[in-house]
Amino acid sequence: MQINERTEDNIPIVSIVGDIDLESSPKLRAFLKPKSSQKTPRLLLDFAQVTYIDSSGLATLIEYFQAVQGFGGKLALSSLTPRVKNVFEIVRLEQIFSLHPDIPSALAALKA
Amino acid sequence: MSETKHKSPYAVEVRGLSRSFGPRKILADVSFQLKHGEILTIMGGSGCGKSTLLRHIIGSLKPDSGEIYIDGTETTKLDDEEFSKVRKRFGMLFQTGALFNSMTVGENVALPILESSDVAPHIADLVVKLKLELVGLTGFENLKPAQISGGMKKRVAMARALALDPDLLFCDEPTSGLDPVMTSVIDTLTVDLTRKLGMSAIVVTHDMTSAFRIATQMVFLFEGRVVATGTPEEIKANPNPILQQFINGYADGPIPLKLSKDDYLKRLLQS
Amino acid sequence: MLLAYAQLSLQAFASIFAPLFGQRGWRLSALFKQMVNIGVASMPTVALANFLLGIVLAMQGAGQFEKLGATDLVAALVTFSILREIGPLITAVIVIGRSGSSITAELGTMKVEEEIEALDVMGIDPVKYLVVPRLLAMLLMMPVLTVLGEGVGLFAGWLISVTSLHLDPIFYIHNATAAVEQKDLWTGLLKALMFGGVVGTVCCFYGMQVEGGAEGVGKATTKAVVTSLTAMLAMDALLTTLIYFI
Ligand SMILES: Nc1ncnc2c1ncn2[C@@H]1O[C@H](COP(=O)(O)OP(=O)(O)OP(=O)(O)O)[C@@H](O)[C@H]1O
Ligand SMILES: [Mg+2]
Repeated sequence: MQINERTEDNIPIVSIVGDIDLESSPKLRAFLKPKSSQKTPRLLLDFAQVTYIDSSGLATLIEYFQAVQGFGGKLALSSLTPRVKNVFEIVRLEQIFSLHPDIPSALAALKA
Repeated sequence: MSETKHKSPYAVEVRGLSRSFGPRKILADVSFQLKHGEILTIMGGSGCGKSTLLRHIIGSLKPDSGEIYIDGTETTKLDDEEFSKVRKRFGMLFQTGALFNSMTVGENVALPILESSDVAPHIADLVVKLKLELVGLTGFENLKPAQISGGMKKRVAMARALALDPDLLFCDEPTSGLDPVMTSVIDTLTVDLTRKLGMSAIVVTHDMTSAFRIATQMVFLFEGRVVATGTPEEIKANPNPILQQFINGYADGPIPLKLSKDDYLKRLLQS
Repeated sequence: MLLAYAQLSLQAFASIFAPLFGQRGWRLSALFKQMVNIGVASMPTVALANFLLGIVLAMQGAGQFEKLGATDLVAALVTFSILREIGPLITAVIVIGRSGSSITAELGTMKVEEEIEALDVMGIDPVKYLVVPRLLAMLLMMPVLTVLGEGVGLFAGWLISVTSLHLDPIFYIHNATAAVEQKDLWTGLLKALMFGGVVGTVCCFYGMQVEGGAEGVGKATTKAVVTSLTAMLAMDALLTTLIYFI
């Protein structure tokens, strides 16, 4: 798994590439930790190139989402492949995460 | 369930499996295949060898003869270390649950996660919550197995079997002891996991409603032999009287019953 | 049978050292839990048994030595026999009865309840996960308990000598220290360590072997206790021969 970050309109866009599994989710967690301690107000996670996410990956996102709610920030996820989206849906996480078909719509939601 | 390329079209393939315990032949020349992403149910009367068959597939028992392939890898010839790699992709629900009695429900589900990775305890806790919700047991983390009902144990065992998001799930009577609603929840879960995530599953069951709801393939065992295999439609249409008696649950038929036969009266009067 | 035992023991000892070679190891938390189960919980019984034996030794000794008019020798007898023999031995007996049997019963119950099979299927090595913490706890706690027991036993001997036999308290201690060498202490502890290894492996082995329900657990526990006792005594005889007569 690889993590690439860029900024657009002051919003960090984080592209994750590859599998988010037991082996790589600690890396994602380590990446998100400073984001939550800095209280990053808005964050976009681009899932376009995420090939797979397991439960530990979901748990890592939930943990970050809990922190975001704590400091009143915003988190959006974009461009999930159908298979990855299914993983969210099985545990009904699509109801708490803000999932968007592409980056522009996710950015729009974060700015709203 | 990562997007790995499959080595074989079959998730599980059993060829000519035979096994005796002492003089008793329990499994005789059993063969079947399970395609990736499908659910195969194994059915048959009590004591016909279903659990024993499952135990061979998961590698707890070694066959007298025959081969077992997990995604193309012959597992009966693997040593413990190699097999434990294959097993990392398994989830198994035992007929008795086999929960760790000294641990809480939450610790039972967390154990495979904590033992096979370096994820933080907090992450493992969250995974436990996700899995317990799947089986309708949110909030039961802190009870011990002795403090929950039989059906709840089954569901905890299911949650534990799913802890590592297995590619391949084995369930030995997952719904026995569950009420019809919970049976349906577990059935739907199994189907969703295969349809949506590409998991494959082998489910041993006596529950015909449940079997016909989830199966894409069925294997019917009688006295350790495969008497029929096929899709649910094929099995329903199969005229084999043993099969029909079992599916429809008739008390009378070719399956020798331990009820009211002359034999029984004769034995009773023998001294 | 013997082969299977040797195999399990080898595997267990290999797993103890596995972390040194960069492999995923056993858990410290599991070890602590077992050290409490096996060691800390046995302390009162070990102390009591050694206390009583200290008293018995002093009184028996006094009875014999009085005839020779040499009650001073009581100090030497008590100290010498507790450090070399009685301390490690009685401690091991208590640990076998209390902790060894519970190891076999616990592992055996896990076996018949299919918990061990479940571990296996999860890719968790039952030897690493269950046997190693118990064996290590035995190896560590047996010497610790022995030191504790010896301390209590020596104190009991002194107490009874001073109070009922009217020996001089300081002179007793002087006699006691003159009678033994440091070697006696070390050999006692070496014995304790070896006993810990024997008891730990034997009791885990019988536990992992259990078949046939609650009855099987009961039978295995009995066998584990009997075998541990016999093996421990044999080990004692062997070590005594090696250390003092060769
Ligand atoms: N370890 C064993 N030693 C001897 N015989 C065994 C052993 N395990 C199973 N058997 C025998 O194998 C046969 C099949 O047992 P198995 O548990 O596979 O049945 P099953 O089809 O799962 O039955 P049920 O539906 O009641 O669970 C039984 O007759 C049983 O007595
Ligand atoms: Mg069965």
